Amino acid sequence: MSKLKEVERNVKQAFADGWGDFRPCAYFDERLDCIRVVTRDCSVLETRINPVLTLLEDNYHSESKGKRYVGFTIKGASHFCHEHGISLAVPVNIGKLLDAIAAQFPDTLVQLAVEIAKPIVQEQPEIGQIRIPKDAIPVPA
Amino acid sequence: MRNIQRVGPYIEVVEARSPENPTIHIKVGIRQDTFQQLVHHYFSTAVAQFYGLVQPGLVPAVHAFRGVKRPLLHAGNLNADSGVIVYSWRPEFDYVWVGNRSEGHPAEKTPAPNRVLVVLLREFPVDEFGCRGSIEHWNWVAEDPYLPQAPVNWAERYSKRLWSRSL
Repeated sequence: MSKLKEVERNVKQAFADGWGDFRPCAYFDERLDCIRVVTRDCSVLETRINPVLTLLEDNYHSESKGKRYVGFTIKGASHFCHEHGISLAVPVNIGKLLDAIAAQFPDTLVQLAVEIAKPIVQEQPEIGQIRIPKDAIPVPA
Repeated sequence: MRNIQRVGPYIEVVEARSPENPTIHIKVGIRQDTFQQLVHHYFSTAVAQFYGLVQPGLVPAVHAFRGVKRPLLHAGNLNADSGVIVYSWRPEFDYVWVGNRSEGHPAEKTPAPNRVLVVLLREFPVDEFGCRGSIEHWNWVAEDPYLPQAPVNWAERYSKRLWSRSL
């Protein structure tokens, strides 16, 4: 069997319990402590802006004629909230988190990246907030 | 290429080169919950990349790095960034999913020039399934202009270069 056929079989097996349409989403990656906001199911090029922010680009956006930027990652999200006293008792507003990042890192590159990232959230109201587990924060000794 | 092989908490166990010595192979797994997060959100291209690029094993890796230079709080550890191993190389193909389930199929794509694949691993002592780490994420990044098959600005990204293989 060709490799492509094997990949196809395994992907279909992975989605055997149901396969819906991809929808823009935001989720918390607990083991890498980051918020991932993704608006398209595509091959992604990650461009590191600084230690906290990464932009996601569609690797083949010129072919798909879609938007170049398809999401972003806020790295060290629970660490950042811990450092900035942002409560995790309620869902975190991603737009406000981007504002806090822009305030902490005033350099031009970060400002430009936040300008790219914020409309992604604004255009997708359903991904405006995210719940980060409270137990991610260490208990004071 | 092989069938899906569930082992304990892992949906797959694959081979990788040891962080200490690239001539030694170790086992690493992808946890079911990590994989299910991709399935839950219908990331069909990421799943296709897993079966096309990651499941065959991380042995093709040309570089290995330790420690992501960024805040990472995990399991109450504020310095969990040091427990991340990163492998990078330049695969010949990328994989994307085209279409929906019934009519869809994977497609091989030639990656743009100067792109490398990175795979992030959380390292831990060998567990009862023989695994020394869990695969957490994979994606493409721009290639470093001075160190072929490494991520651009690798020295800013990672704490330490563990090894590089000459091909």
